[in-house]
Amino acid sequence: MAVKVATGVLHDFYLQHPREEGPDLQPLAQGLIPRLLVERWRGSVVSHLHETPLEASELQNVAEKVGLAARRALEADNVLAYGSTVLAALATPAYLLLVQLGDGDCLLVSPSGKTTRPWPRDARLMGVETTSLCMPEAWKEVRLAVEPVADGSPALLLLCTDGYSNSFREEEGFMNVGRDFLELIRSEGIAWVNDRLDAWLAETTERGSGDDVSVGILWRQDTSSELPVGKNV
Amino acid sequence: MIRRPGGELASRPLHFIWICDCSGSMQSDGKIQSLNNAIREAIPHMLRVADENPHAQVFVRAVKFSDGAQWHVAQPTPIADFKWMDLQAGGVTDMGRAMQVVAEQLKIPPMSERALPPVLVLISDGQPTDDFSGSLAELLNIPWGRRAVRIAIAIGEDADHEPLKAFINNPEIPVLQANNSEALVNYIKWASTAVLKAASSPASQSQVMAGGGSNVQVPAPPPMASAPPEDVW
Repeated sequence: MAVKVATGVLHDFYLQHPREEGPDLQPLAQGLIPRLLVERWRGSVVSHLHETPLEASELQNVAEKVGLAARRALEADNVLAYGSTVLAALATPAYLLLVQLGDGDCLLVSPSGKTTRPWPRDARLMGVETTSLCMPEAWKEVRLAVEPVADGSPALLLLCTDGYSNSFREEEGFMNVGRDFLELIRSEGIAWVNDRLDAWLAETTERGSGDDVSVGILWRQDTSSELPVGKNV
Repeated sequence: MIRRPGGELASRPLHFIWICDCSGSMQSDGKIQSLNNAIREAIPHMLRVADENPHAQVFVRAVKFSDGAQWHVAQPTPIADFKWMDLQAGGVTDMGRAMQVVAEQLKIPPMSERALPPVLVLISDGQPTDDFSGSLAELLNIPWGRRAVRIAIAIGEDADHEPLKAFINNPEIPVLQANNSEALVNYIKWASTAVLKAASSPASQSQVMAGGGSNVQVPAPPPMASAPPEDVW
């Protein structure tokens, strides 16, 4: 439900702002998208709850697995059952719009392989805690960035769940995935990388966090190769 | 051979800390020796639980408090290498100082953001003789202190439950009352196995940030066994 809502919100934004870019778009998107995202998601949840109310067995299941306090909270606000994080990107010829609510990671990789985050990590998200669409005033927790793409950067965008970054011993080891993926795509091709992605992710979580891992990669085919050849990272 | 993207992989660290009362009253009726025996007996069980989950690397430490507080085992020690050295009893009950000692080590750094929630087990037969409330507040103000799984075991009928409840800071987790050595062994084993297992399980579902306590569902403690009157502390 969150995926459908997020893609719908970003698509509608694109239809209204297909060519704009730069600093003017950031406050516009910031003022519009977080509230719209949360309002539409909540509306979808309420409709679904109206059609299929929570059953007593589901509430009991929550009490057994998560505790009585969680059950009481769920009884007071059924929307909590649908809680979700969001990590979404809108890529247009003029700009890249990135949205995040909750845990997970977003990496931007320049044509030279330099990997950065569009925003700092949220230091509050530790253990298995996260912000969520179901929180009160969740729109305040949405992080958003508009990145121009006219100069060929970023060359690659990577979105992933936190099970991926939690599998690396150090932050630097995780950040290296940006450059490594770009290098492999350029040298071996996107299909070659795609064929091996499942196995790499399985190995990563098996030897790391053990958590589910989802990764999405967007690569700009027109960026030039500026990576040093044969350099270990 | 082309390697997997990213740097070194590692399971997530889980820090387990015993916080042990070594005041003079622990000397009476062999309480301190019962505690030493109970923790020593628990180590193989901890090792078994740790082996069952390769995605968590369990490190064990211990703090002792009487006249002041010190690390009894200062280095975070992999459970496979952990050896229990007997505690000796004598002095007052500076439980507040123990909170400060633990709080210092739960800061980031030395703790890592990708760690699993730490497990803190406080064991006491008395009541604090120093500023416990202020020191506990220091601990709970630290992100990992607030998110730690906090368990408290009261030894004997003279133990003050109020500071132990304040330490747990979660009405769903009771203070465990151990009135004899058998009960103490059971509770120590429970904390070392069931609680450790819950804390070390990979997150299959993120918990919505509530700004409150632990985000780990603590399993129900074992029922309190009745003991012959002559065995009661």
